[in-house]
Amino acid sequence: MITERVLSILSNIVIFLLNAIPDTLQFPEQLLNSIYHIYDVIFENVGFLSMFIRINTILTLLPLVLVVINLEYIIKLIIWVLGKIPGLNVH
Amino acid sequence: MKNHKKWIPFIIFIILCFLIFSKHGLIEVKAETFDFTNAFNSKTIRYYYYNNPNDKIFTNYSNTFSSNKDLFVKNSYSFEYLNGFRIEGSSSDFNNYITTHNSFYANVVIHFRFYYALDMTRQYNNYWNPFYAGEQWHESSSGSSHSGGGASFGEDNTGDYDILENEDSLYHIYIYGQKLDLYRFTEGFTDSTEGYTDVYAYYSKDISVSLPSSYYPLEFIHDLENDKTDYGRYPYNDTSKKSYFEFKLIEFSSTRNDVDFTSYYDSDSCLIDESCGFGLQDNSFLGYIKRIWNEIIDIPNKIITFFRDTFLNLLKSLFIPEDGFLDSIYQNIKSLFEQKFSILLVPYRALVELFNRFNNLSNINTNNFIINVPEFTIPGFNVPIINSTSYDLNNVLSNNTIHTLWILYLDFLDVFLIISFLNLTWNKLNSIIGAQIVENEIMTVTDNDVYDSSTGERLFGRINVSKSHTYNTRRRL
Repeated sequence: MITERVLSILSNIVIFLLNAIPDTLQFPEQLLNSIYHIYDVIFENVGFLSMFIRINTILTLLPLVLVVINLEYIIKLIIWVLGKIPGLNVH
Repeated sequence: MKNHKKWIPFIIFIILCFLIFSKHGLIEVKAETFDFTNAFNSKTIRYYYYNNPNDKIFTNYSNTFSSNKDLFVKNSYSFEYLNGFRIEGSSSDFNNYITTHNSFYANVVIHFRFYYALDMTRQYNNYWNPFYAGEQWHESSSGSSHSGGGASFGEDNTGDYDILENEDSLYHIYIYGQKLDLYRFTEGFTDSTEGYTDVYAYYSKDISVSLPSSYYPLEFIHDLENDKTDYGRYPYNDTSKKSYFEFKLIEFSSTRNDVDFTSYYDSDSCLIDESCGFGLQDNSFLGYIKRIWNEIIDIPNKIITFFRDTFLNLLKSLFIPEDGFLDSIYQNIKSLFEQKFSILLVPYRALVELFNRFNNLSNINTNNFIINVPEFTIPGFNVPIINSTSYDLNNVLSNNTIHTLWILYLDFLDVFLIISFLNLTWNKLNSIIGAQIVENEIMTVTDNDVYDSSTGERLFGRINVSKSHTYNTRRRL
């Protein structure tokens, strides 16, 4: 209840401020659709890429590679979270 | 110690990966037994079944009960195995069942219906009081028999049931010190060789109970008529298998699924044994004192229950927003953003669409080796330079040799990628939590002053610096 009230007040303030701003230029949807069309060209022919490399392997390894490359930051984040837990004495 | 703690986040990361991948089915966890350890007072229950029945077989129970009867479905025979599970149904169905079902897993036990089988011969010498309308017990020369139709039972059923008017002859069942209202239903088995009967008293409201501390095998009741196993039973204080905690199974499958039944299980509940006041009511003065004592002992539990259930819910409602509340705020602000700053949201929408496409990559047809060449025309003129065409490379792969080579190539590539990934992981780990090899040089400094041999005058000094040796140390980062 309290949290809901506070969040409602904050959201109403944000909405009020946003309403005070005039509308900006509308982006033409056709331009966005052309971007999507490029995606279509790429992703519809990904099946052809599977001739040279297995797509499932890429889909499995790519997130893992991203995680490993950023492992240092992830570990720092975990250590930071663990450091907030009293009693663990992790620095 | 300090160095060991550096491995903690890495271990947590591995555990998280395992949990995530096991959740998505990449790692299957199967168990032969269902462990109730955490939920049921550290008691492991194993279930199993036998191929060969070797115990008593109840005689033909010819009475049929209404289909609303939740707990038993009687057909012709019921077979009960010692330390096995009980199957009810016709003998042919039973034989078919045991030949086709070798093992299964039981998941989740909630919503107990409580059975307590009472040995009514202690109370009643000749006959049983009909506890609901329409039923009559008749004493016969060979034993007791049961006539009349069956009655459904429980709150949702429409059968006949009644609460006994004669309180003196009523058995009261206590669970956690709470007196239960009884909906009585009697049924019996007639066995001319043994002459015993079972009487079941039901508590129709769903309660959560903890299983007894003593170990008894878990039984499952398979409804052959409907081909489902909805109920299991856990014999309580079993020497004669007359008393059961019968419970409804939520899921009965061939693999073990992790189900969170902590919401159903009252972890603060005590065991169902005499120390909790469970059992037949003792009408003596001592029993009365015992009941009062149990009520007094239970007061702290009731206070805790009050604070946990009501106070905690109140706190939750104060600070935790309802479902959908945050979502509605997000949608409102998002729509307003799109209206005001639509041009700024284009990169965001393009990025989200890219991630969605990438996410759906696993659903694409990976054997789509068709090269589509679109039509190219001279701009401004409707003259095609290249006509649209397509080449299907599957025709090349239709050759078995080429196909086999292609699969081998893909496999080698997979191995190469995985090894490269492992190498990357190893190098990264070494750079983060590994050690550096540091070469240390030991320099030797000597003074070689030059003196005049005749006068002994020091002419000049000379310092020699030489590298005597090197050694390596591992420097922890």
